[in-house]
Amino acid sequence: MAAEASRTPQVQEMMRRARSAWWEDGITEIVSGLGLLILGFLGFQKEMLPAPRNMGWQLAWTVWLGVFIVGGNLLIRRLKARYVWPVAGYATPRQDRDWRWAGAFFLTLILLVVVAAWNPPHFGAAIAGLPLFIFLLALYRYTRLRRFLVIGTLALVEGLVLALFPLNATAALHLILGTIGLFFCFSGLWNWLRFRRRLQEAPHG
Amino acid sequence: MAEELFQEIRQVDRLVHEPARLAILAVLYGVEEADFLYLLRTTGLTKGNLSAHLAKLEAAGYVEVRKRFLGKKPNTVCRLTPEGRQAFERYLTWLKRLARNLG
Repeated sequence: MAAEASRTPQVQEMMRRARSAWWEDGITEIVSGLGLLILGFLGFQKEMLPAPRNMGWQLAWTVWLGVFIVGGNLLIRRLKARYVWPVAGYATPRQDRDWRWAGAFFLTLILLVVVAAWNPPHFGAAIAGLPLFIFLLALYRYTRLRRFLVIGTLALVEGLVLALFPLNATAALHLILGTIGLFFCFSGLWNWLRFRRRLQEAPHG
Repeated sequence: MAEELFQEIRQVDRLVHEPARLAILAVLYGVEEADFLYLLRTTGLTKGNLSAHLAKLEAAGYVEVRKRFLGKKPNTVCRLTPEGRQAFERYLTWLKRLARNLG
């Protein structure tokens, strides 16, 4: 009965609205974009320098990854609580159908590990964009926000372009992460401005 | 046949059947939890109406209402209870059965 109710178009629309509400103000994208941009930059530096000299970058990358994972969601919630929820309302998406989302996350994680471990020259760069494309495709399916599909496709194309250069897969992966971060920042900023304008036009619409 | 149909109609959960409350339940069914403002924006109800219907749903045990603070501002968060979720699912099943019988 529960599954039948969840398939009702109106209920699905409500679920989709709650899921995309998390992204529509742009804050999540700006914060995760900045996080990815810095992670990509640190990772790329780490890969470009020979082993003993890249220790500092390696350390900075590890520390930043920890800060990003632990603090990112906290910062997003803080910003939303301050700037979004008081004017646009608050809703958290339903969790009980999120197994596909979790599946995409773990598939991406596994592919990332495989690409990093495999690390073949040239060809690795071509497939480095694939896990990120899968992740962004899943994000698009989850939220139905088309910009994730566009950014995902760009990640895939960037991987193919990077294959023309003598880069290892991990360096390419970080370069793509950085580019995705940059796109996220821009689209987040754009959506934040759009969101503010929409609220001003229709405060309760 | 007609008697069966009327009996079916009489079985409706009147608490869920009311359009405003049905809208609130439909929104809350699709989310984990939502605050008063989100419900206001998505259902299009007035503040007074929404408050009154939420109070009825809370009294019936279908909705759980929690007060908290967002910074210095008070914030009311609502979520469906398992009973509320079941009531909504029962209602949808009833509605589909009724539509089948009428059609």
